[in-house]
Amino acid sequence: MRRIWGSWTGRIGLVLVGGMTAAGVLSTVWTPYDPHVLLPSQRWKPISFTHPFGTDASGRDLFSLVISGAWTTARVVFLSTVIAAVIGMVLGILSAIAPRWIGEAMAHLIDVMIAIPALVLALVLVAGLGGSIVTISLAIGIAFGIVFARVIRVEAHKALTNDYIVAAHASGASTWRIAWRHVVPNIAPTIIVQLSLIAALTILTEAALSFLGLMPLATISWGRMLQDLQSTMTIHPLALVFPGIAVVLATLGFNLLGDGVREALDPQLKARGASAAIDPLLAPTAIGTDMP
Amino acid sequence: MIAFLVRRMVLFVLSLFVASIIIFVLLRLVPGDLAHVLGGINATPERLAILRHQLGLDRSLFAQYGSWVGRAVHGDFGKSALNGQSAAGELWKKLHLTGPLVLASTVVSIVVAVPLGIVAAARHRTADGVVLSAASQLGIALPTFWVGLMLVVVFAVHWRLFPSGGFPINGWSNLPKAVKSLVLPTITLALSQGAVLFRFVRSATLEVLNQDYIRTARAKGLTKTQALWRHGLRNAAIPIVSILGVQIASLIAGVVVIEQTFALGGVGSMLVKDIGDRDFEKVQGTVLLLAVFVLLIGFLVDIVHRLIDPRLRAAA
Repeated sequence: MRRIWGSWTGRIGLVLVGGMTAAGVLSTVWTPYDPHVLLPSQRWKPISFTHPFGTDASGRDLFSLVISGAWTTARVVFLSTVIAAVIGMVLGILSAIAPRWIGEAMAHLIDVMIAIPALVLALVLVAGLGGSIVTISLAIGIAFGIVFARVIRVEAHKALTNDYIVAAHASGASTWRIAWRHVVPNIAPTIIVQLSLIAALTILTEAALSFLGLMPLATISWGRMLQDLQSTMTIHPLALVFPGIAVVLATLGFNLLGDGVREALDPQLKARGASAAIDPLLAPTAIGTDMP
Repeated sequence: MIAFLVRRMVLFVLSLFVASIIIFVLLRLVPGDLAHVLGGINATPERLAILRHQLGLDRSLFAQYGSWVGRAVHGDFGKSALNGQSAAGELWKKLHLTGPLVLASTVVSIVVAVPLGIVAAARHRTADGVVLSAASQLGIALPTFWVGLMLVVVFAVHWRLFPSGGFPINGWSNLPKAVKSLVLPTITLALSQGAVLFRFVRSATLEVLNQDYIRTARAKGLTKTQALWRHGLRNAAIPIVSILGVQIASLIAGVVVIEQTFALGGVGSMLVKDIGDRDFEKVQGTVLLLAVFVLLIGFLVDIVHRLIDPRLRAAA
């Protein structure tokens, strides 16, 4: 933790992520105004001390809406990241330790699944199960979990070639024991960094899905707010700025946190002067060692 | 190379087969079928049964899958059960709008991001390199649709340079208007793609600059620029080609959101509408065609890899 705080990126990242979480938690107990109550008499109030961000077309306080949106985002980020972590680690490690032909078949299956647009999965899931924080997190978690599995597989493969793992094998340790005791700790830094980037992408994806109207009306979210405000943006463009900036700051926070963690865990990177590492999450095939 | 092509071809067909199963199963997981949509909310169970029979929904899943794939192999990707339009035909029509949009934004992002990424890597210890990196950090954190909305506010509402959305009804026959209506969407898409691409180009180039052969070239007396130009770029190109391939796949998602932002009736809007209508026969045809496209890009990327990386050729 101290080492993350030691780098500028890590420090800004921690502040932004902490700020978003704090705002979200705060909104569950207190908001300046009730974001669910419509007050037509208060519509389109300008920015003032009583309404720091102004109000919207139905008189809701935009500041209250933005901090309530942080809570939705925080929950979606948590759920999606957990789902992605479980899917990614199970599929990734299994495909790395399984017999060669099963592992390769799994790797190809993962590749094919990546070819099906994640957004289609989200649309279909919401059409079937109805839009909610859980369905949206499920769609995002599955989509990123599959991409994550690729990264884990490659990293686990690399870890398996270490001498001490070969030695552990020779001394009779079971495959499962090796996976748990040696492979997982070995790839833990990658896992943490990647999950942080998944969190950032989740925020963007959730905002986009909510913007498309997949989030139920009763759930306050930044994307949903932007969708509502789009219809009046020619007259009240300023209102769109706040939820948008909230999305940017939250995303930036997780991205910077990821970079900070990476720098803290990999001193070599720092010595080279910049984050030279290629981000495998955004380009899983760029580092794929298992080219057919 | 021939052996590689054959092997890659087999893999391509196999992948398509697997993709078709995934798409089919995925769409069958959704409760509420087309019979419900056509029959309306007051449909009696008998009416639903008749509709299901007409639509072939009462057959076993294997039979449904078999007849779908069988027809797809012969080039028939299914049609809409609501209005009889063929999935392939509709996709082709919508591609008149989405195709140029995707192509233009890809070209713009490459033209801007690749040179900038190389410069940022070569000058990564100087102020301008740092500024470029910080800008890209911000770029990947921007939600595409919000950028689009902001561009509309500035360039369409305030300055009235471009339309805020929509596409001319008579399409490309009204060329100036059509081009104008795609300017803002193209910039928006290119910005989000470009920011990601920039980061990859920069990392790939930085990685290359740390290699021994660059040090050797420098020791021989080449300047940094010369060394990078003669020895570095070809190596840096390998991961960059990969990321381009992956980006095309993620573009499909980007397009759905952008089309919604700018009220464009392209492939993305069509998918959203068809899924909402439970028109799954058409949806599965459309998604399968998109998957063909994405897998084809993967195929091409692998071929390009071989062409620029002699090590891969030697390994075969």
